[in-house]
Amino acid sequence: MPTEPVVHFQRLTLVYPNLIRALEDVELEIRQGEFCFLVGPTGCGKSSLLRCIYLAEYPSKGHLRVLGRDISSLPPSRIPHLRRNLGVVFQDFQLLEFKTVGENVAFALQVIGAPVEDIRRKVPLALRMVGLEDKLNMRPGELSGGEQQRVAIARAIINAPPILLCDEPTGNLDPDTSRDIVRLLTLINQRGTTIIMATHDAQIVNAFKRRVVYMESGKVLWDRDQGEYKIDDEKLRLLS
Amino acid sequence: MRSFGFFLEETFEGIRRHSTSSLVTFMQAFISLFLLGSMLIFIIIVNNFVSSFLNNMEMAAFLVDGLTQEQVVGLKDGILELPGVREVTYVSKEQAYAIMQQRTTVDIDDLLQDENPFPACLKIKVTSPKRARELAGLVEQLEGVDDVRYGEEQLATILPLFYGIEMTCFFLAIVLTGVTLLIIVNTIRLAILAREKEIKIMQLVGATSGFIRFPFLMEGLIYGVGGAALSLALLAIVYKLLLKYTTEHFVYNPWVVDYDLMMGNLALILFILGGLIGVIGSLIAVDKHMKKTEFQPSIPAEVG
Repeated sequence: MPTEPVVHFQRLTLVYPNLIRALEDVELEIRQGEFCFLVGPTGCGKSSLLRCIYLAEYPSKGHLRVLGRDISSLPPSRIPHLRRNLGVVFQDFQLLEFKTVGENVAFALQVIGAPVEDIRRKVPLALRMVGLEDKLNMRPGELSGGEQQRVAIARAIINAPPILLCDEPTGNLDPDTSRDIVRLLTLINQRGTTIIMATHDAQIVNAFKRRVVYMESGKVLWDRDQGEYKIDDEKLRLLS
Repeated sequence: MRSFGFFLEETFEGIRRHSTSSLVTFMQAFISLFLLGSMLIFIIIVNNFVSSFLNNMEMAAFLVDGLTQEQVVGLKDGILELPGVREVTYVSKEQAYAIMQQRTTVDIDDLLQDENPFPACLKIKVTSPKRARELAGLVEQLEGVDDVRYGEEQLATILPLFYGIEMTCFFLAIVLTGVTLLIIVNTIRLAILAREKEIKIMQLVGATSGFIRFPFLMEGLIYGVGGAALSLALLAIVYKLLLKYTTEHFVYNPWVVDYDLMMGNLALILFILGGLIGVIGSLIAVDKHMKKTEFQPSIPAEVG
């Protein structure tokens, strides 16, 4: 039985103020509990598509429904409430170096005014989930890249968001660590969280056999379940 | 309330972590508020001097001879009801004669040969010298009043000068407040630049604008109130020394304002102003910055 779409792009176009067309007439549905890879060459619009979901960009045209609500013209004052239902992970981790691992993870709950008891209970759970319960008092600078990304993931999931957006989360990591991170994301996905991951790492995409959405020049060119992403195809397409 | 502890922690953590820029902001606030406080002391002194001069200003309504006591009482009451009148005192012909006797070194008994040419008068204290001319016109029309004198020429020279000084000081205080605000906005903006990542992450994980602003507003308040406290302490020492010097070296000090009164006024003004400048400065700085982060949506270009 098909599940509800949690993200639904309806002929969405995004043109930046400098008139670069980042997304062109995108039509895409992502259902609850899916794990979806967004692939394509650099500048194809993967990050812009994710930025639209967490409303770092307002669409220029078309509509975008997230968790059943049209967010295309959501007022700025409501954006924080949307983001509390989304976890976001980046290539550069975005951790606060002066805070410990535990404090970095707790920060996501503190700034939304969560009760102290909740924070005390949830931080060790999130760190256990990413396998870093013993690094609670260390600072990000003392951790490896993979561990830092795990801290970022723990911070993203601590509020149990239904959707986790990952923008090139393995971009700074070696192949083995990258696989570990995607394995962790798979585990999170198995618990019901919808995951949308932008990447250009063909090995990862092909190894995990999930839904693949291929983008080029701001357009969705193909969308396949358990698809394969052949880098050579992409190169040929670019040359042509 | 549960967030308040977090705000406090974040505020002091922010100040501690960026101690250099925090110190610069605090010193800027202190220096600016010290200059502003010095200007305020000058304004209060000038104001006190002007007020004491004006409070002693009197208008004299000379009465025609031969008025009965009832007529004089009626006139006095009538004048007291006029707008701008604070106090009316009756000076009889005999009292006027006695006053003249005291004021001159000439033997007026001999000169006037027992005649008393001095008219009885009503001495009127006014609330606002600005309205003296208007009031004199009204009093002059009353039956039984012969002439009204109020030092028109003196007033015409001194009043514009005093008001000019007062207005200039007031204008300078406003300019200095504006400059202080600008300096604090800019130094806080520099401090905020160093904390860009924190703001970005707060926006990303769903903190509201108010929540993001609050620790910065508290920081601004600390700079403003702290700067005000330090400048007040220094101004208190300076004013005490000034009072000591002038009372030791001059016999007549009409400008002197009581130390406690001066410091009370100054504390009230500097703390309110310092706090407001700190909070408004932070608000402007953090709002400008929040709009520029990569997670804050911009208005997209129109498409056809």
